[in-house]
Amino acid sequence: MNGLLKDYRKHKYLYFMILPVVLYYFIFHYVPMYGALIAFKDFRIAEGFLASPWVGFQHFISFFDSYYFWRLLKNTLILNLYMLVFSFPAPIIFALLINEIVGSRFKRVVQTVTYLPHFISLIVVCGMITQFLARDGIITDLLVWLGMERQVLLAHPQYFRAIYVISDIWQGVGWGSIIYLAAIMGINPELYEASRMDGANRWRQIFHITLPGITPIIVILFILKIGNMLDVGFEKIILLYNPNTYVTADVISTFVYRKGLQSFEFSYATAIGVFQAVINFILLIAANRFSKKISENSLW
Amino acid sequence: MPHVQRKGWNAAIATVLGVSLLAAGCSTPQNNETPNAPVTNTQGNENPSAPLKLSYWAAMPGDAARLMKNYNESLFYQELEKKTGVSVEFQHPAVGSQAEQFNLLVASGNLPDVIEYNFTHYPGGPEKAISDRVILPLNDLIESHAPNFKKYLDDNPAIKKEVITDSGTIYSFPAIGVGNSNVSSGMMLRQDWLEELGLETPETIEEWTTVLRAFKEQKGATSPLTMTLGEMTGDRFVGAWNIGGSFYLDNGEVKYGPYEAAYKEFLTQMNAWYEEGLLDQDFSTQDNNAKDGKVVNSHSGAFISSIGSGMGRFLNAIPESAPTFDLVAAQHPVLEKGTEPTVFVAAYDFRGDGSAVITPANQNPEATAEWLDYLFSEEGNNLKTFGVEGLTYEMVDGSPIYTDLITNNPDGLTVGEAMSMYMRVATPAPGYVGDDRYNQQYYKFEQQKEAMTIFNQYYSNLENTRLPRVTQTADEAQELSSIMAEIETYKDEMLLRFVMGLEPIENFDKYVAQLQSMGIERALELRQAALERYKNR
Amino acid sequence: MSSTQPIRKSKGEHIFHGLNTLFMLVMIVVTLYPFIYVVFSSVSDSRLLLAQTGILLAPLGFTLDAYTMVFKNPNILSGYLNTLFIVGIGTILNLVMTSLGAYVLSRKGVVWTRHIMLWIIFTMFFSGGLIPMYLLVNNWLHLGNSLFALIVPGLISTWNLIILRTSFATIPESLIESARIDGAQDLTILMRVVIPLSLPVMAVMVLFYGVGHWNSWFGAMIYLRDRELFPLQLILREILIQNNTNYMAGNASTEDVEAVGESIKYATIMVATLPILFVYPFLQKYFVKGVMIGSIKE
Repeated sequence: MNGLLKDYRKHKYLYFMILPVVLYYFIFHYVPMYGALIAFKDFRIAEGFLASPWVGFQHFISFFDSYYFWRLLKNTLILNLYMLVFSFPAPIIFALLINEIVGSRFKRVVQTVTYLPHFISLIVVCGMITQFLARDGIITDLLVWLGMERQVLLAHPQYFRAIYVISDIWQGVGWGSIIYLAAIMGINPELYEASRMDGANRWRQIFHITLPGITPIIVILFILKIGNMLDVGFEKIILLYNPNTYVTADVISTFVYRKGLQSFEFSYATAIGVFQAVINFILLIAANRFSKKISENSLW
Repeated sequence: MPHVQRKGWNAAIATVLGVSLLAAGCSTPQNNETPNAPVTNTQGNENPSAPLKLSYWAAMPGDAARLMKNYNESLFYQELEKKTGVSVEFQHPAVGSQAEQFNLLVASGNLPDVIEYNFTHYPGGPEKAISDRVILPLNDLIESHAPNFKKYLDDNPAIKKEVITDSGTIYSFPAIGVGNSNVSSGMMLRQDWLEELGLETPETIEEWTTVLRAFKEQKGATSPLTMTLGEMTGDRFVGAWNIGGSFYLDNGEVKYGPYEAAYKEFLTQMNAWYEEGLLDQDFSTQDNNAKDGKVVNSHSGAFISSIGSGMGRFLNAIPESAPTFDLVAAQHPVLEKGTEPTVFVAAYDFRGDGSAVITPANQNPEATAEWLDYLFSEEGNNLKTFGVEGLTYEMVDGSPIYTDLITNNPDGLTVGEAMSMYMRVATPAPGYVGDDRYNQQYYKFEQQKEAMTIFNQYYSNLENTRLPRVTQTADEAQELSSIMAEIETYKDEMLLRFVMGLEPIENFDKYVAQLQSMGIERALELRQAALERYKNR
Repeated sequence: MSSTQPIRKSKGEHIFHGLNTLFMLVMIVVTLYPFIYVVFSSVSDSRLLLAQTGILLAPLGFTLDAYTMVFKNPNILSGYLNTLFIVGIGTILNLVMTSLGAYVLSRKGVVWTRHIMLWIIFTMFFSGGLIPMYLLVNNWLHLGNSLFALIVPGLISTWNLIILRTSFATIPESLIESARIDGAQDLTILMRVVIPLSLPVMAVMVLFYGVGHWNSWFGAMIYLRDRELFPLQLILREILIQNNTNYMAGNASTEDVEAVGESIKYATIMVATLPILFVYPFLQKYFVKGVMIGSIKE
């Protein structure tokens, strides 16, 4: 307590500055958190949070016992792993390449154009993907020309993950690179000057100045991504999958969505959300600890 | 650093925080329960001279939402207010998200006077909504304050059975389908091709095979029969085997189509069509746009579609590449010539959607009931369906005919849009819907009118094969959804594997055994129990 | 870095730049296409669009009917105004709150910053869900059916807070200390030293928050019951999902309603997207040249 008082005297202004932030998190995040209790209740909407009866771990058990539990878990993890390996580095590489563009006007054009897909509604984007991959779609034509047998790729489970991840990169690489470009711009130009004096070429500069300069943000975003391993948004998958590809495409969120269509199951959905959150949070803590050990960067 | 700057910044933060607090303060009166505030639902009976003002929560259909901000802008509600003296303050959720907002509305407990919603979707059914104090039971009110609706129910006991709960409570002023138009979609073929090939519109599955084969071989159709996955799993071709794509009735017993022996024959036939290239190879992945494209481009000669948005749109946009393009509706298919189809897709007489209920928050339930009852009177129904004589319709030979304002709108509105602007006829709304006199005009092509007759010809057969609108209790519903989420996933996967030949049909018995181990028998029990309760209404 | 190109390039660098330019050209084509597709579709004849399969390389016919229809929609204008209000006020409040938090949490030597950080990150994973939030905003704060319901609950995005904090933390401690020695307090340091040194990432924050507000519809969908208040994206979404039966659960009881013309969907996308696309080029100047740390020291 004494330490805190001393700290307060020393950093008085910081205490005042953080106050609205803390208040915000308390009111809008911690106060409503009681809602998570319905994971252990049989929540009936009009009865409210207090009156609904307790059921313990029933919803969790019913999910773990589900015939499809392991498949859903596996698909969710694998899809996220693919995203981690391919979608995550793509904007970093792209930002580095943009940074190497010579003409400043061309650079602007590239940036502005590549971020466009981010703004096109998912429904339209997925409609296009389906069209391009149809039997007579343009991508199918291209692949047939390259020697593939004519088929509808979206009907085959073995291609689903690739389609999902590649289209994800297509949609997000430009937008995702913005944050890294900003980080590159934050690097002190004197460092480049100095290294050029030492006779370093562009290649060496990328690896010795640019990359280390943006490492903090890369590491932080990587840790956050790890803490996201059990989440996949259901909207895009629902727009792209079909029972043929359930084997690889059906993930936790889509299954819950389909189940919820039949009756509103707030408790069940919340229980699965809690399960995902616990696993995600553990992964995040582990990743953060690991990163702290091997580098200076950590979330807290 | 200059001192002034710092002060300015502090002030800026104070202002910002102030603004957000102010915001909270500003909007308080909206929901405040101060006695003096003119809150809509607190005008009690003690002041009968004051005009009744109701708050009314209702989802707008898309057509209406694109044209107005509020139902009060539509001619129908303006006229209704003039006729009844009741003014309405509408609350509208965004199109397509009424379910989310409805749930939150219920959870918050701040209910409007009237809610228009599909209460058959309420978890645990309408009876639960009554015990949750979301809706008022209406039996007494209807007895005393809703003569038109009461008369209708007394005259139509079959419909009364649909709109009441298992224990006999009337809970809503529902949208009731009148007229012979509950079946609004079905199979359609290229009439010009049939004529050219000298073929009749197919009735049996065998005839269908012949026609599709001819389309493929002689007309060069790459996907003679096209459909989407939803149409494959729904009560479409599967109905020819007298089973449903999901739960259906057989002699008073609930059955699950994909669990029946006949389903194997259906799968075998679909597989044969698929292998021969008669069935669209893309049916499992394509969306409606892709399907429509194939129809318009003559890649397909047969498809499943609705009369209005499907057939109407195709006939409106006859492609240059096929100037003879013409469509004909086919009767729902059967196995043997001369038999009647028994299972196909149709709306229930009691639409479910567009049912208006009175909430316990309503201070004037009697007056509200009278107001809603007006929609069930002939005058009210005419206003709702045809609008105002001389403006939106003219009486010609004793029947109302829409004027050009509706059918050929000077502002370039489509028929559907014009109808939404001036009436409430195109989508379910409290009162009678689907009036034949309306449909005959809404469907402007002869082929559409014929399609309506053909599709609805055997509607009465559904009485014995269609599961009525049964209600599961909240506990039952939860158990059922747990079982069915798995079963439907498995069934859909296997359906595709069988049809596409990835799984030999010999494995059908194994598939049935798997359904059994996933609990289909229990699901059938739950459905049967709900059906028994329904029968005893 | 265009201004800092070395004068002589090696052969390898020439090849690299050639390949890089080629790659960027491919990226432009590939990522521009969805947008072009929307533009072409929006001015195409709906009927021709119905028959169209495969790639769209030019408008099918040419008509501005779809745009006329879109602007006939009375919700579009009010949607614009509402969206502008949310983006304007919302982004300003976001920036203030986020920079405050990021600055404090990036300071070393304060005893509790790590705990607060963890306390904040915890909220990224555990939430009470939709209903308690709705009760809080609607029943307790009485913000239901008001535009502030779309701003206040999202005052800080934790993800953005983390990014900004990471960026603030890379500023050399010596700069901050020297400002402090000059007598500056923390707020002044944030305004005068930290933010000017972080302009690129502040621009990113403007972009992320601004675009986030522009694109958001979920809050509006649950809190608003008065169409007068609907933001643009909610109107757009209404039109997009209307014909998308794949997307919504099928319901046999809905009547057979006329389909919206295909081109109207795309025209609405254009109307709802075009304005925000101009924000980025405007912010781009912050990405083109780096910040000269030396110049800040006075």
